[in-house]
Amino acid sequence: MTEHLDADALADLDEGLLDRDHMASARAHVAGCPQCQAELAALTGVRERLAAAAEVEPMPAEVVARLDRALAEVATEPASTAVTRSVIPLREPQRSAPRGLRWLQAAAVVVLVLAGGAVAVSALRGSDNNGVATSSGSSDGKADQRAAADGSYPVTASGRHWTKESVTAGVPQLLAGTLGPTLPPSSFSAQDDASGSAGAPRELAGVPAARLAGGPALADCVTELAGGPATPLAVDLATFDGQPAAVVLLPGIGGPGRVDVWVVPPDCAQGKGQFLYYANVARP
Amino acid sequence: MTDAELLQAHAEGDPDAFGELVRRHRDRLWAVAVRTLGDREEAADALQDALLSAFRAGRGAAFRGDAAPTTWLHRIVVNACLDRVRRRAARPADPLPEHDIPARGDAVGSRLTGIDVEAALRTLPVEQRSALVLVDMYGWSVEDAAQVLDCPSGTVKSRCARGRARLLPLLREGNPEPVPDVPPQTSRSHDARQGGEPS
Repeated sequence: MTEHLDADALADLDEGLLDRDHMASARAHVAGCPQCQAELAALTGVRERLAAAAEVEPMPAEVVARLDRALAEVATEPASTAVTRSVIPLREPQRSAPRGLRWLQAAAVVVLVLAGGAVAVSALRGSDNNGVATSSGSSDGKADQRAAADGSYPVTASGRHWTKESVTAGVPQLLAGTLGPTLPPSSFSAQDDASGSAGAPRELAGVPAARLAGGPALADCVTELAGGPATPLAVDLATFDGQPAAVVLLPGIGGPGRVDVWVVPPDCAQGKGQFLYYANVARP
Repeated sequence: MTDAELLQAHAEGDPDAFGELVRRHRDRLWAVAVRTLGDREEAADALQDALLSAFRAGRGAAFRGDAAPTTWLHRIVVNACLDRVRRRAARPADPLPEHDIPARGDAVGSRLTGIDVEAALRTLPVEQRSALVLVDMYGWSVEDAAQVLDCPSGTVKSRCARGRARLLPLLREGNPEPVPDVPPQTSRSHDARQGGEPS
């Protein structure tokens, strides 16, 4: 006679989570064990009690009224001021492309990260003294400090294969700009070249999302996402669910403790208004 | 108009579309927030944050048809709830009120059931709690719940299974034992397995 199954094992059996061998032995045990059969039945009882407690009173009138007021208020704001963010002066490119961007060849997604409470200053200025890429992990904190100090933000080309799970989990690294080389945004195209990456540095040729690495294309994309001009918190060129995309982090709806994570296709802000993924997460 | 059409109209600037969408779903969203947070004031705050966020996210960006608008709304609301719980856990000086403000005008019977279950749910890590609220309480499919919770289906299943195992001693049928008044758990605590030998 095998041992009784504990509650976790019974719940896993019930949910079909045991692997084949464990499933077989667990079933064999339960078949001959009234005690475990009773526990399994009790688990069904737990489900039934949860279902029976589903009913909650309708949303109370005062909550409805409060919500209506809040929505009415936000609805009267013109889209461009719906979110209190300042305009980013995205500069013309002034420098040649940074060295060592070989690994960008595979990157096809741009990730832009915008964080709550960032003050828009000369958004791209930080790159002047910090232009060259640092590799993963080596610049913790630096990027954050930089962003806090002058409103600049990291633009990386991590080339990662993001998914909706990994991209939200990766927000701290995206904000810190530690996922790959930090690209000096000022070196990127300022020409809003609808055809793609023509204005981007040579290293980014062929990277579909390269147009979002900086310049007016990025500014337009951010404006479209945020409902008004805003300073991103971070941008990453990568892929999302296997598609070329950009990750853009913006100051989050809900205050300085929030970050909006937008994943957009390379043609962001070319009138299609599409995005691949959106999440509002707590700022780490 | 369908929900998706309302969202599209909202994206195109229709001033009433989003409000209509909220009216359609607010009671369901309210119920999920209340059961996930176990506190009505917190639920009201979370809903307001979430819906303002959804309003803004939906403006000027075409809705992609890869998730139903209700799934999308639930996702934003549930995320707002989870964030609240996690932030609270990170700030021990600002704990959840010990007792929920009882709902007014609630039928006594269903409220008693609800309060027991709510208290039991609050003993769970919030990830397990939110999975059980969606799947067992509100009948979401595991796949849809996975979309709301932004995790793989297998994770939803295992959160549900572990949560049920933990609720077993608290919600056992005919169990007269009151649910212990313990602070809400976060995902970091209580990794120890519960149960052991069935009695």
